[in-house]
Amino acid sequence: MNGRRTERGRIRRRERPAQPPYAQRPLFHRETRTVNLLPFFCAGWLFLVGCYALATSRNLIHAVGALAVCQSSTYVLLLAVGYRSGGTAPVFSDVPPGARPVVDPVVQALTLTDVVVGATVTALLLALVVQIAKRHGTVDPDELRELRG
Amino acid sequence: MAELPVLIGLLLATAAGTAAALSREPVHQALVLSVLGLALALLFTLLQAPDVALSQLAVGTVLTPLMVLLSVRKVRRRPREESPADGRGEEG
Repeated sequence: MNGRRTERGRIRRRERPAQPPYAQRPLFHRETRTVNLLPFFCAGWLFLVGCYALATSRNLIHAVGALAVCQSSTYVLLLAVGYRSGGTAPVFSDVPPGARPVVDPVVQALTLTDVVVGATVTALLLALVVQIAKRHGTVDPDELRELRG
Repeated sequence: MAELPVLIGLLLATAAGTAAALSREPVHQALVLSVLGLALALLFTLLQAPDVALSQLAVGTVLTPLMVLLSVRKVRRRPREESPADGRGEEG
């Protein structure tokens, strides 16, 4: 049973390019679970450490940088969802579609949008920080007690 | 094993993100953020996303640290000039 399964897996791995797209292997190796889940742990760790720095920040510019770290976790998460082991970049200029396993191009488009929106959010928040510093004279969030003009 | 560069890129990006989040000074954090953008661009290239990698290389490595550094300079150039007059001094 066990030997037959490994032999079948070897045959399946050898004739992988002729398989339909739904039979391709998912993210990383299915056999090793920690490697399988490592990108999601990394994304969660980046989000949590960014949230920690955002919560314990003493400077609004530092808080904006911590928010950029939080956004970078979403890039890692999206691309890890769409990654396929052994796949190549989804460019079909030299091969016909379906001849070769490719990674998911939809989450790459989402990640590209996420990168651009993240840069825009950072620019907007830094402009707000500059306006706060101009009006209140400080960028420490604990000194911004009262609501002024 | 075939995914070893991807794993190395993942750990590199995670370490750079942790260092960027835990650095307290904003100027130092801007430099570490550019390292994080470079590590993320490398990771996206290894994850077979070259367009996202180029965009991240432009945005995360150059644009975001430059904006942070410029806003640090803009904020530090006026070190509480109008504060002895107790708030809303010159034009309100």
